Amino acid sequence: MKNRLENLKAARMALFTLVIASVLGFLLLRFALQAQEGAQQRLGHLQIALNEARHKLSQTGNEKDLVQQYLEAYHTLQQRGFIGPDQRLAWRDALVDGGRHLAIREMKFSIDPQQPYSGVVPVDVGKMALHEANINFSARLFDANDLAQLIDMLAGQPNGIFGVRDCELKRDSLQFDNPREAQLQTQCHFVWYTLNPAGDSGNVP
Amino acid sequence: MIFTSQLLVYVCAWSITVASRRAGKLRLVGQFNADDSGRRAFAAKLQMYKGSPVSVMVDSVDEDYRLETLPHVIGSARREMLERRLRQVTRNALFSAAWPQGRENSERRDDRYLFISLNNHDAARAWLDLLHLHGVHLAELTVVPAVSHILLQRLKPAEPLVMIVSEHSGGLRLSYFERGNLRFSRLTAPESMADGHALDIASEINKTDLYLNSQRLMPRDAQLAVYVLDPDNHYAALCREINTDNKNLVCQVIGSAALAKLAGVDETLLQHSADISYLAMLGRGHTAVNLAPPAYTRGYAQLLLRHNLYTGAFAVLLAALLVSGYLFLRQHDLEQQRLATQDRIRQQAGLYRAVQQALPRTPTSPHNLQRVVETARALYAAPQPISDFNRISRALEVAPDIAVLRLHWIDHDSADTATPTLSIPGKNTVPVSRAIYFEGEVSPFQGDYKSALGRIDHFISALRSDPAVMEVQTLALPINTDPATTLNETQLNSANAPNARFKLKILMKAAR
Repeated sequence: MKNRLENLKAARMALFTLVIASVLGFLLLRFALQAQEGAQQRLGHLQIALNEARHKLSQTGNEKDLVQQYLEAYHTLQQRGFIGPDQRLAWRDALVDGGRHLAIREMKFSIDPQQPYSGVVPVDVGKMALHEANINFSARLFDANDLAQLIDMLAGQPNGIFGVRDCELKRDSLQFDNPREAQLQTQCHFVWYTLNPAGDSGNVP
Repeated sequence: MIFTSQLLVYVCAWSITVASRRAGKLRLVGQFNADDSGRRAFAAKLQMYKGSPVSVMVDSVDEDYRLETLPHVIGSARREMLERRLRQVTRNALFSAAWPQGRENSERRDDRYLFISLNNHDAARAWLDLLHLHGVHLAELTVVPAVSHILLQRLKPAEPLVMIVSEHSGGLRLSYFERGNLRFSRLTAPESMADGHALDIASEINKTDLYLNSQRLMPRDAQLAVYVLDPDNHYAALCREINTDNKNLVCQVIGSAALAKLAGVDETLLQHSADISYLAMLGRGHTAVNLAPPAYTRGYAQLLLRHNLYTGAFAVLLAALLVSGYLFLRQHDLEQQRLATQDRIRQQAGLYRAVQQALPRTPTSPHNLQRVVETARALYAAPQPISDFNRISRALEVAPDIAVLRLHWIDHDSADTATPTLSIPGKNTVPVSRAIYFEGEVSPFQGDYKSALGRIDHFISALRSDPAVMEVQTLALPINTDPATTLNETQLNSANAPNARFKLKILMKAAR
C-alpha cells in the first residue's frame, strides 16, 4: 500500500496530465456533439419547411380548380352581403318594410348583439369568423301565409343569409268572430349570418 | 515504451555483455570486463541511458534450484506461503523467486514450484549498483534458464524431454526441461572447456545425460532431445557424433539462420557476441521468473506507471479527437445538406409564386373561397318552418275534424332523445332532428271520446305516412286511457261543454 502511494506520488504529473486530457477530451466531445445536434436540428426544421413547400406547390393545381369553381359564387355572396360587417340597420328596415307590406299587427322585434355562430348546421370556415345576429320577433297575423311571405321577403334581402331557429303560431280561438281581427299570434327566433374573412391575405399576385 | 531505449545486460562472473533495444531494433552496446576499467567504460555508456529500463540476465554457477510441491492455495494465502517458503529454502537470499511449474497428478493436485536463488550475488550486485547510480531502472533480474524457457516456447518441440545447450560468455549452459518445465540447469565454467571445442561440448552433454539418469530426473532409457545453439555454424558434425554414440540422445543443431529467426534479430548480429541471441529474447514482456526484490524494481514500477498514465492521457485525447473529428465531419455534411435544402425551398417558393401569379386575383385563399361558398350553401339549405308547416297542412286535409291551436317549430329539438350537437364554426357536427310541437282539438266534439281518439289516430297515421316525418309522439290526449292510472271526469253543463284537445311532437328527418 505504501509502495503504491509512493508510486502514485512519483507519477502525480502524469496523473494530472491524464485528468487534464480527460477533461479536454470530454469538453471537445461535448462541443462536437452539440454542434452536430444543432446542425441536425436545423436541417430537420428545413426539411419540414421543404415538405410544406412541396405540398403547397403540389396543391396549386387543386387551388386553380377551386378558384375557377368558387370565385364567382364568392363574389355573389359578397354582393348579397354575406361577406362583410353586421348590417342591423338594413335588417331593421327589412323587418319594418315586411311588416308594413303584410299589414302585420303589434309587431315587435329586438336584434341581439352579434355573436359567433352557434347553429346546428355543420360548417367549416377555417380561421375566418362566422357571426350571427339573433332576432326575437313577435306579431299578430291574419293568416299563416303572412308568416311564410315575411320569411320569404327577409330571406330575399341582400344583407346576409337569413335563417329561422324556431317559430310558434298560436291561434287565440277557434271561433272566427271578427274577420278584421288578427287572431294568429306568432313568435319567432330569426338569425342573420355574416362572415368576416379577416386575417386572410388571399391570393394577390 | 516503444520509443524508450531499453538496456539488456548479460552478467557472468568476469564480464557483462550489454545491448540496447529501441523501437524494436536491437543493438550491441559492448562487452565490459568485471574490473575497474570495464566498470568505468560501462558507466560512461550509461550516461545516455538515464531513466531507461534495464533487464538483467545472470549466468552464474551460484544459482540454486530446488523443486518443491506445496498445497494448492490461492490469493493472499498462496503469496504468504510462497514468501515464507522462499525465505526458508533460499536462506533469505536477496535475489530469489518461486517459479510455478504446474500441478502434481496426485489426488491432492499440489502445486509444483521451482525455487531459484542466487547464493552469491557479488558479481551481479556491483553492476546493479552502477545501474542504480546512473538512474537506470531495473525492470527484471532473471537467470539464463528462464530465457532458455522462452526459446523452448518458440521452438515448440514435439519431444517431452528437451535439453537446450547454449554457449555464453560465462560458459556452456545446459538446461533440461520436462514437458516445458525447467527441471535442471548447469553452467560449465570455461576452464573446464577448451574454448567451446565440439568434443568437449559433446562430453558435457553426455555427462549431463548421465547425471539426469543417475538422479532420476528423467525416466530411464527415455529419449532426450538435445538442441545445440550454433550461432557461428561450427557444430554441424557435433550432433552426428552424439547421435551415433548415445542412442537415447536425439541431437539437433540450431544454426545462425534458425536462431536469428527464433530470437528475432539480424543473423549478422549473432556473430558479434555469444550472448546476443539470449539478450534479444530478454526484456520482451516479462520472463517467467524475476529474482529482483521490489525495492530494486521500484524505479521501474514508477516509470511504468507514468508511462501507462501518459499513454492513457494520449489515448483519451486521441479518441476524443477522432470521435470529435467524425462529429465535425458529420456536422459539415449536415450543413451542406442544410444549404442544399435551403436552395430547394427557394426553388419551390419561386415555382409557387410563379403559379400563383398565373392564377386570377382572388380576395382570399382558394380554400377559403371554397369554405365560404360551402358554408353559405349549407346555411341556405337549412330547413325552414314553412315547408314543415305545409306538411302538417297536407295531413290535416285527410283529417278535417282536427283544428290547429298551436304550432311550434324548432330547428333542433333539445328535448329529443338523440342529444343535439351544436355546431361550432370550423367543426363538422352530426345533423340533429328538428321538431314541431302540435296542439290541436277535435272539432266538432260531442263528448264521444272513442270517436275523437279514432280521429286523432287517423291524423297521426296521416302524419306518419309522410316520408319527411321521422317520428310522431303523443304528448297528451283528450282523455287518459292508461289502465295504470285513474280516470276522473265531472259531467258539466252545456255552457262548459268538454273539448277534445291533444298534443303531439313531430320529429322531422334531418335534411340531407
